[in-house]
Amino acid sequence: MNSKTKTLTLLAMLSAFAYIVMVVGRIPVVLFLKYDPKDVIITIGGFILGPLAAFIISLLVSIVEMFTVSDTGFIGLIMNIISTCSFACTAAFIYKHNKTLKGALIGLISGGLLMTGVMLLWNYIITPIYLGYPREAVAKMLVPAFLPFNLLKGSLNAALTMLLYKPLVNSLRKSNLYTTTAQSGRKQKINIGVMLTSFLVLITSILLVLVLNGTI
Amino acid sequence: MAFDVTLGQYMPGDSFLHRLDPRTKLVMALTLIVVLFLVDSFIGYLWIAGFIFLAIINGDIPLKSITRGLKPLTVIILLTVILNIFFTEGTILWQWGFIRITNEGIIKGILLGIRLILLILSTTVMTLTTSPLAITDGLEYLLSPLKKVKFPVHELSMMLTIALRFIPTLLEETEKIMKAQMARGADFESGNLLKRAQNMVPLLVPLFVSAFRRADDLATAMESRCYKGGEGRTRLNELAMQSADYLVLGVTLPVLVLVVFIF
Repeated sequence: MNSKTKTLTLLAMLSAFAYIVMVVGRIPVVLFLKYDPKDVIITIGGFILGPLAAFIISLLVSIVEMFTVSDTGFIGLIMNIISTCSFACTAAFIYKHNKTLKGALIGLISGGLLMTGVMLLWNYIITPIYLGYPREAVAKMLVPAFLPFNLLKGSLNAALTMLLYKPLVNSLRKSNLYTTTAQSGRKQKINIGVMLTSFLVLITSILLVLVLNGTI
Repeated sequence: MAFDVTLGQYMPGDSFLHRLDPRTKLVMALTLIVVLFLVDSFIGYLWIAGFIFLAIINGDIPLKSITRGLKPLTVIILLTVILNIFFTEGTILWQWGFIRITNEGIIKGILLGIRLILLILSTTVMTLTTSPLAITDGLEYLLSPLKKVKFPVHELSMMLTIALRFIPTLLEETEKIMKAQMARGADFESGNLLKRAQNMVPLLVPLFVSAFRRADDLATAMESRCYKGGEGRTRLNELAMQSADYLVLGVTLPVLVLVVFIF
């Protein structure tokens, strides 16, 4: 059996599943910020199939979300991908190199923290362009609105992932589905995954430097 | 408990806009968004609003579905307008404590409010008249130059198509499992957040397993029909640009570019 087709269908299925979880469990918090547990599914997908898989699933879900339920259009799409990736890809990446409970915990926590930082910065940059709020007003909103929202989102996602992952993998093993899909074309994919993550980090840090210098 | 997920806002129809090639509509929507970010005057927005209005008329889109699309955003739009009115520096019209309203603020607030509405409309008009599958097809065609740099365009659009196809199926299954667990006394609706999350485990685990199993079955089915990636694959419905598409693109794109330069 060609493992490529299998990976393809599996990623598609997980995207459909993450989408459903997003639709069913979507809770608006403040303004255009919404919590949905789709990151949990994506992170688990990343734990099983590697960080690149997490990236692909989040890309697919965000695209489907954009032309179905979302009301924030292309900008929502970009923010969505950035947010999910900084959480799921980081967690999956760390877990991949340290497949223990400790590795999973460290991955999830650093994923949550990274996501909070990245989203603070991106909200600071994008929101004025998108909604035209003056930058000082956004800066005032950062700490009371965006910071707690993203921290809450991160910790909720981490808790749910920890809760789900073990029973899930156990039942996958029982039904003989896990072992066959776990090792699929990993060798060449590592580089792309690392490249994407570092690309994201690079852009963010460039923007951070610009912000600190007061250019933006 | 049934989930109401109409997949996409797509409304089937046979209007001029419905029959346009999805690529044309994608390009138009993208251009409109870019133009909206470049233009910042009332007259420029008026032109764009005219375009969107024409599209709405040609697409036979009922007013109700447009207002429905805008409704969840009322708060954000209002907030945008209000924040801009209060936070913009300029000639002060009215002041009370630290709250002040400026001339520039009012203009900027209204401008940005209009821009936000137009931004949303330009995507909504596309999604109302194009089915998600057609959009996926259009995306694959538009992104196909990226194949040159080994970007997996075909694989991505294949996955997108499969995901779209299986969302209703998996949703039905979610409902079934939910009901089955509720019949056994599971409780999905009370308790605090963590408790609720814990109660979701017996729902999500079987769903996950079933998604894996379906993926397995589908891969087998595809391989036994000789699916082997995008190379040399033929399609049932080829996208073909009609003369109407060229006409629409040929007229609108230059006009939009002019709008950017003039206003």
